[in-house]
Amino acid sequence: MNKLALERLLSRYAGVWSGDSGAIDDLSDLSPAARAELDSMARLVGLLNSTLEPVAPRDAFVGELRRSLLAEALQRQSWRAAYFGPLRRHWKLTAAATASGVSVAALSAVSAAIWYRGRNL
Amino acid sequence: MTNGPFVQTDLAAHAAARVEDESEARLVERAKSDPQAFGQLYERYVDRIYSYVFYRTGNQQEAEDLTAKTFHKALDHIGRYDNRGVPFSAWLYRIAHNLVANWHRDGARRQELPLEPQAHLAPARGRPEQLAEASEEREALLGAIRRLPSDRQQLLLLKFIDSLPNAQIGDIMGRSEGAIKSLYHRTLIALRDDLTTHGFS
Repeated sequence: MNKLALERLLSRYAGVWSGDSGAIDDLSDLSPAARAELDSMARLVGLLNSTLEPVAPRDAFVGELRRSLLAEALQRQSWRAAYFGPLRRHWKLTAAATASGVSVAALSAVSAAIWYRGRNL
Repeated sequence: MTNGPFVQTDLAAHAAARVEDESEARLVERAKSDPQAFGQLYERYVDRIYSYVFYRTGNQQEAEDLTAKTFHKALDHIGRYDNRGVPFSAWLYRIAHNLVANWHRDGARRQELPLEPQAHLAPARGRPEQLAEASEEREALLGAIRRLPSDRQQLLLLKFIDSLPNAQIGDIMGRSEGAIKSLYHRTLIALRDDLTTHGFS
C-alpha cells in the first residue's frame, strides 16, 4: 500500500488504531491487507503509549525554582512600586513636565532648522 | 437526535473547558502583577514543561536548567502576553521549544532522547523473555523517535506525554488542526518504516 493510500486509511479509520474505545468503525469492506495495516498501527500507538510516559521533576528542584521565581517576582513588584508609584501619584505634574520637555525640544529643533537654512542661503 | 446522553456529556465537557479557560485567563491577568498568581501558573505547568524538555534533551540536568529558563523567561515577558487565541500553555510550550532548539544549535548536539528511560517507565509484567523483548522494543522505538525531525518529535511528545488534542498541539506549533492530524499520520508511518528497517516488524 503506498503512503498516500495508507494516510487516507489511517484518517478514515482513526478510531480503530488510535485507541479510541468509543469509536465504532465498520471494517467489513476492508481488505485483509488494510486490516493488517490498521492492526500494525494500533500496536505502534500502544507501544508509544507505554514508552512515552511523563517524567516527574525532582521535588527539590521544583521547590528551588518556585522560590527563585517568587523572589524575582517580588523584586520586580517592589521596583515597580518604587519607580512608578510616585509617578502615578503625581501624574498631573509628570504629564506637565513631560509636555514642557517635548515643547522645549520641538522649539529647539525648529530654531536649529531655521538657523541652518539661514546659513545656507 | 439519536445519541442524546452523549451530546449532553459532550456539551457539559465543552462548557467545563470554557469555564476553566476563562478562570485561567483571569489567573494569567493577575499573574502580570501578582507573584502568587504566577506561582499558581508555575505549579500548574512545571511537571508538563519539565517532562517535555527532559525528552527533548535526554538528561535531567539540562532539563532542569532549561525548565528554569522557561519559567524565568515567562516571568520576564508575561506583562506583554496577550491571549489572542493562543492559550497560555501554548505560549509556555513555545518558550520551552525555542530554548531547546537554541540549546541544540549552540551545542551542535544531536537530539538526544534518553537511552535509559527505563527508570521512568512503568515496570512491565511477564516472563523474562517477554520483558527482554519489551525492553528491546522500547529502546528501538526511542531510537527511531530520535531520528525523526524535531517538529515530529515535538508532536509525538505533546500527543503521548501530555495527551494534548490536535487543536492544542496546533496552537503550540503554529499550525492548523488539520495540518497536525496529517503530520501525525505521516509521522507514524515514518516511525513504523524506520522500525521495520532496523529489524522490528
